[in-house]
Amino acid sequence: MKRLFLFTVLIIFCSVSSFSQTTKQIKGKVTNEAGVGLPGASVLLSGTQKGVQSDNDGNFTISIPDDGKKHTLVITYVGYASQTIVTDGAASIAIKLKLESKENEDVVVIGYQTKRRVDVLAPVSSISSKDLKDVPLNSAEQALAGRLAGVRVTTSEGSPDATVNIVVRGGMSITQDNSPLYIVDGVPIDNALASISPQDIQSVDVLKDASATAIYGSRGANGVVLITTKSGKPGRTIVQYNGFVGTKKLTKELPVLKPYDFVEFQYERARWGRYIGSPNTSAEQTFATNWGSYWDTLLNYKNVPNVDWQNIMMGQTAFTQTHNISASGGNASTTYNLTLTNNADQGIILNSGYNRNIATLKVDSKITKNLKVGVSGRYTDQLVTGSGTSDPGSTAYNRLRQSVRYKPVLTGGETVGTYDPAYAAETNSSSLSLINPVLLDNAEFRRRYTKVSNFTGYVSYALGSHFNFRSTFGYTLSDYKENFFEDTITPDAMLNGGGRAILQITTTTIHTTSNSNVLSFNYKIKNHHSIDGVLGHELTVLRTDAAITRLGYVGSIAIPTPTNTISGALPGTPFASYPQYTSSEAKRVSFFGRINYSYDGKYLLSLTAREDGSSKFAPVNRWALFQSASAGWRISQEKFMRNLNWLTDLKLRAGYGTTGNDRINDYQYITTFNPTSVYGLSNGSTIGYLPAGLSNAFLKWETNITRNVGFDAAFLKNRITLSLDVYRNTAENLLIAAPVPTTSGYTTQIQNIGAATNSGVEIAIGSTLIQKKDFTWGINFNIAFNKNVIDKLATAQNFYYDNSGSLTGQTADYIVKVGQPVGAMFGYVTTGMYQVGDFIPTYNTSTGQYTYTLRPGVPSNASIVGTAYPGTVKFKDLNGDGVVDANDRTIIGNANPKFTGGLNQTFMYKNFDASVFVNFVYGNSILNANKIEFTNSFTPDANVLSLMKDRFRYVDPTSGALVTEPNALAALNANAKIWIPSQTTGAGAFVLHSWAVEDGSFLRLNNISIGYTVPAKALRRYKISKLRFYLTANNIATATSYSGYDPEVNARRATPTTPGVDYSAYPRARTFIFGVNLSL
Amino acid sequence: MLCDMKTVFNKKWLIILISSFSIMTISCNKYLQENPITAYGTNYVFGTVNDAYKVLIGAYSQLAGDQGYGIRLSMYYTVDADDICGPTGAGDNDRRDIARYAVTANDLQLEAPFAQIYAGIERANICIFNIPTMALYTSGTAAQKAELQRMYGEALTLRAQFYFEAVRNWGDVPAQWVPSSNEPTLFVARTDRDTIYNHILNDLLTAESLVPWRTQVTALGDPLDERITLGAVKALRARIALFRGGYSLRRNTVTMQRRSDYLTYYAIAKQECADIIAQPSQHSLDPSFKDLWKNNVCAVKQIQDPYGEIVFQVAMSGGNSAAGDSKLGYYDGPRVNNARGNGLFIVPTYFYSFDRNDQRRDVTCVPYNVAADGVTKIGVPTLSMADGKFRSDWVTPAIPPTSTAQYFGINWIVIRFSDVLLMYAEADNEINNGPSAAAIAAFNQVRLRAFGGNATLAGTANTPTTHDAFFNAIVNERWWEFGGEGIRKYDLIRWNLLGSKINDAKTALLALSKYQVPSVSPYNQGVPYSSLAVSMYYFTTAKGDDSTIFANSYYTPAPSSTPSGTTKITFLTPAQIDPTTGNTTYMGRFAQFFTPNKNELLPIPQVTMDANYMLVQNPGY
Repeated sequence: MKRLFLFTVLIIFCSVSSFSQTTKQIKGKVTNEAGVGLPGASVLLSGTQKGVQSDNDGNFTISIPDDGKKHTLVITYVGYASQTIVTDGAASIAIKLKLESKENEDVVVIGYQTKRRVDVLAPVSSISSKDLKDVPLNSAEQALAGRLAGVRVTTSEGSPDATVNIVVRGGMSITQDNSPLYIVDGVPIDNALASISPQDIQSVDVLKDASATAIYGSRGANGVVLITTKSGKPGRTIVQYNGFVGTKKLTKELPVLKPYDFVEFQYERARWGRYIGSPNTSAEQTFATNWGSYWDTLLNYKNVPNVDWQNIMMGQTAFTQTHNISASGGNASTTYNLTLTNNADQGIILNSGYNRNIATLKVDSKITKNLKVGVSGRYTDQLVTGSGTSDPGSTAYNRLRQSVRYKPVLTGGETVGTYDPAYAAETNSSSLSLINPVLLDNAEFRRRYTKVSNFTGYVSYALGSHFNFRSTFGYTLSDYKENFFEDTITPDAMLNGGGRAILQITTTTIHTTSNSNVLSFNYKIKNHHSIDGVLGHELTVLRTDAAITRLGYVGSIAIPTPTNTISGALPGTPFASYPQYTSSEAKRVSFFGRINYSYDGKYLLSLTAREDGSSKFAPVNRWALFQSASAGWRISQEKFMRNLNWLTDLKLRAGYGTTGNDRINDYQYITTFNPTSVYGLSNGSTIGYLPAGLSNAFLKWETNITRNVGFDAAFLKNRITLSLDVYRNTAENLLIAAPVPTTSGYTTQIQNIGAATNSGVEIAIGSTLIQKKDFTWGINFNIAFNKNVIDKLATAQNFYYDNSGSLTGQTADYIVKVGQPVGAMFGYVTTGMYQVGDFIPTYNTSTGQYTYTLRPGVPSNASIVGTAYPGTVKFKDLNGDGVVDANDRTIIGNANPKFTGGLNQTFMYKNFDASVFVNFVYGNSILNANKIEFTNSFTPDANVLSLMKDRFRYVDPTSGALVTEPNALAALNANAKIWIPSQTTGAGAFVLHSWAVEDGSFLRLNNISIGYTVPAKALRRYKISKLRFYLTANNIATATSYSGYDPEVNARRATPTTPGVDYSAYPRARTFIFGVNLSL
Repeated sequence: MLCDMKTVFNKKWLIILISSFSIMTISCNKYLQENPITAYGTNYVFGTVNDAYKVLIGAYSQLAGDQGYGIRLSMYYTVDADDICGPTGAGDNDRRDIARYAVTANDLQLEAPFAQIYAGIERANICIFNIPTMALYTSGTAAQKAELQRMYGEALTLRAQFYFEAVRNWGDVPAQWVPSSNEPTLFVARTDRDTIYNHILNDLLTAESLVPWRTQVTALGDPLDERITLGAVKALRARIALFRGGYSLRRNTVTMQRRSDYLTYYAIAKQECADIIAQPSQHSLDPSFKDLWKNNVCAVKQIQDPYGEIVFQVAMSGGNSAAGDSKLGYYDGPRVNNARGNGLFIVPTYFYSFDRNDQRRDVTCVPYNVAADGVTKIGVPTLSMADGKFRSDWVTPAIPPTSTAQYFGINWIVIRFSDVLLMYAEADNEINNGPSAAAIAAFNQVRLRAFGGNATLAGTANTPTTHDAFFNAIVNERWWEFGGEGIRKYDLIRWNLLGSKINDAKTALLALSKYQVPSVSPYNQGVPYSSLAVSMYYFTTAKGDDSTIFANSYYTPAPSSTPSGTTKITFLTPAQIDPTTGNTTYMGRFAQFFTPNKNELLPIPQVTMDANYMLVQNPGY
């Protein structure tokens, strides 16, 4: 390997060295058939590394040796057939390039092979660097959203490093990871899109169906994303700079009560006891102490400045910038591409930020006529700072609530950074404890480091003209480290640190090694039959090492001074059972083959088989065979179709195949113990072994069967293209973390139970609507419909509940049920609030107030949210038994959209270009857990959403008098829109009801971009071959009825069965960007 | 075509490829065999004494933490009874509903403790299944064998404790006696409680031959810590025998019943207790009731009190959070600096039921909150008086009053020696239809200690000698002795007195709120409520931790003017009486929804019901 490296370095040096010879100049012009100059065409002097690019009008000047000999120039231009011109002494030449027929140009990477798109029998969605250039985002994943039919890309939240979920055709697995397999330049790399700069991507092809993915066997079950990175092109060294700067801004705030409304609400809250006939004098005293005792004085709060915590915390105008510089080039035998990228991104939230540096080098070399080698290396170094808003843990550790609920008024000389311990104690109920959000954000000091090194190399050897052998080797080392310091005021320090500050350091190292050896062949028999295919094997080894240390500081850190550095020797003592180390290793071995047959290019057949072995299963269940068959008919090649001028191409396709899944934790088939149990003997911490789980010796592969029928058509010389696919995918022996009776001592066991189906339709349409000399208008539209159904669960099990864990102590909020999709939200049906008429009023002579008892026949919520009074929330008694209880829950939402898609339009007018991209999601529900929590009043003096201003009232807002007389109460609330914020604590505070399940449909004007390319003439004297400026706006507007920050959200990812929860997510920003593309 | 192929494709290549493929296939299965790296397999962990001990620690650990005796099993499930009452309010689908007997199967505080009990059983099962089959168990050195025998006995005892906790709360429960990975099915139906009790009584008998006495563990090379010793095995066996011989709510008849052979089990209890009483060097009473709680339980310094009064306790590790610690002293006990406490309250009539000279009153009931300075005390009225055996202000080193910590490492006490004495007295009284001299002596020992050894004040000369009177005396003595220790509710159930004692307490509470003489025993034997101090005056600079913080007596009408240096509080609030129900505020929050022949058992958690089609719910739920 060392030798190969030296060799590579040598090649680069050679390619940039120059000649010293007598030369003469030849001028020329490269045009298309219509005579329009082609800018940026490559003109290479054959047999040398010498080359130039044409300018904006297609003109070029190249020096050739003045030795009287004839020289050959090779002229290439993307989309056109390359031409070879032999110089005949003329000083000026004109070159007319012919359009390459589209079918020849458009190639697709499909498992270990590249194929012309017209010959591909499987549904593949692709996007190229051209599509990505208009989306100057730092995440390639986000750039894919809405652009690929049947590929749903959901960004979990708005933070700069947010997790992006990519689900192909609904995802097969119920409880296991549904992310697709990523292959970068032939090597599988986990989570690849996060470590690659979008500017370095040449193309992304997504394989959606077993007819293409079966060759990847076990790993292809959830689709395969093939990423090809940019390579150098033969010719002179081209230096490019792509950069942009921009700003990001919060799009929306959640409106909360302003000071007066807040204090008035607290006044009313303190009198709840009187309203229900059981005065709570201590609550009233506390209110008086905090805010004043007389109604009149409360009016002063009308003049108190409002403290907008959301604006303070998240209202920053954040600066974002990206710089990408590349040098590429090469000669006829060796090409290279070197890039450096820096992304710096301030988050909109205080202290949050993101900085990433990526360096890549890719070299391909043809050593002899038959031997090709290539190496590439990539190093990614990323730092994310700040604690953000969300946390996979329980409510207490999620921080958005601090910004929304903290009192909107500062009293007694407080500033935006004052710690108010009394307030924290007063609001400490149901894991809340409000702490000044600015202070808390400073006290939770978090840095996440990611360092990924990747090396890929291949050797390809042509054995004659029909066979080729290629060996590919990949190694990726990913290092993740998180430093998290939590000062004494933080929830973790309070709950788990015994009031001590906590330092937690987590490191994870993942080594991935892979090797594949593939023999490919192609053969033509006479003129009709053509056969090609591959035969190969692959090995992958995945080793994960993780360490977590938790130290508790004693004393030395004082409130409210946050410590912003973590360095040197630590005065802390480790928590019991820490540090913890875990290591595991998984291996896979595979053998595979594929044969493609074509008769006259009309009848196409493809067969694949793959035998996979996985270390995750016991020896008897270790191996599985996956196979697929697909067939195609290019009707347009038939004689009877040839006369149809308007039809360029038409191909029918059908495919059937199986894939598998082994994405479970390692060693699940044997009983193991971890040293993570603690028992406090002698006031110490004795470490004990904890069974890792209930093992299952019978585990085997999960099997997925995919069926696909579709067609690809092109009309009017490719001016319009259309693809349509219909599929039905079923999964059997699903690997599910099945709930087992807890009397076994465990809650779940990984089992091969259950079956599920995804069925759907995908349509992709592309068209060049207008193609004039000065103006082109192209559109790309895609839409995908998918339906997910669970067909079977465990023996004698029709359903089980799941809990997203978004709200502490909440009952199950999801149900996994046969006949329903994954993501069915489960809860009560809201029917508004109890009215005065629902009660029998009783006059109490001693207090002079009325108390209310529910009329017979009116169902009571008492066992769920506490005793009913006029104005409290009311749920539907679904089973009609007169009581609302756990039996009255039902499915109240479905997180799966009915359809998703996008529409991209591109325009070119002279030197201007523009694009407008819209994406949409329709028919999904969002569980807005924020809304449940932020309209609750389980502690005094916590703010609520401003919609609660229209609440049912029992204190007259003008006089401050308690109103209990039935007629007066009804009159006061004639226009009340919403119930009294509940004071119930614990689980009763967090009951899911249908009011909080909202329609998540949206239509987002995702991206508008306008660019201007400076005419080549103006650039010539600066030796610049291309210069383009552009302005882009991202996340411009979203049409949605959703009331939260953003409908694209998935905050609770720890449990795959609870998608679509909005809880404490980092809000999404709007971005404006100015950028430049420069090419020398 | 084949011929063509030969020309284009060198034979040598083909041979190399094919042979390399076949070599790889053969070696693949070996290649794919992965063994755990940082986790350990069963053979490994049961390979040495030290590793087996760690598995046992894993079983012990299930006693502790939020879902064990850290809070749920010790402080949620044990109230309301006529000593202690849970937090105010109802209708929270949470701990208040359990306290008010309004619990439903969907209550959120049921599933996790239920699951943890069974996780404990599973881990004990793993030890019970594997330890006796370890090579060292039969062929190790004498020391290794003795250690392993002790551990096997501990595992049997732990399993018995977990099953006992499950049965006394849920009645008939699914029973598994081998590890789950060895069970043909995990869908197990409920086993009759008598069968489970018999099984664990036998297990404990086995354990008795394996586990050493408290003072003998050092000879094994083990430190004296909270691990189970023979006293705990025997005391637990006595306790379980009394429950086996007591009343419980039967599913088929939906009534409270005791089995006709109950005296067999009283005999077991008597014998086990006699065995412990015969070993005063192992277990005896701490002469000071307060010292036991203040310095040995709360101070967290002493692992084993010098007298061995604490026979069985759950070790909690200080500051180690939800998984391994307890919220004793945080959830209950007096408030400190307006934080902590407010989880459990003394039923006011229980406070007044104590003899004025009974030293247990001021340990069990805390008449104060602690001020912001952490030292000064503020008197509290009866309505918000906390239980006092687990007090955060007794913990050393002192917890700063501003601390936001929630875990103080206070151990939960499962069985004390006074329980052994009173179980002995009770069993003896039933077997002989009247107390023997030994039974009376055991009873008097407890009573005498409560009155600081003063026989006159303790009235030990007048201890009843007839069956019924002695039984009643035991019912009351256990009430006063074990208040706040999570024992009363289950005692009342096994005596089938829960409903009537709740009603008696309600009657007394109503009388108290009207300052009238209660009509029910034993509330009518003390001071008439009409002569009590409605107001109390606490010294503004009070630092004491008992009734000495007050300038006046609880039991005589208060002076009308405030003595200097004191602050007045309305100690005995004349509670507002609801005009429709006639209940007082306090009665509204005390055992409000208790339904006989239903609430003696908790419902099986709904999640467990849903996960196992073989289960049938308890009656009434």
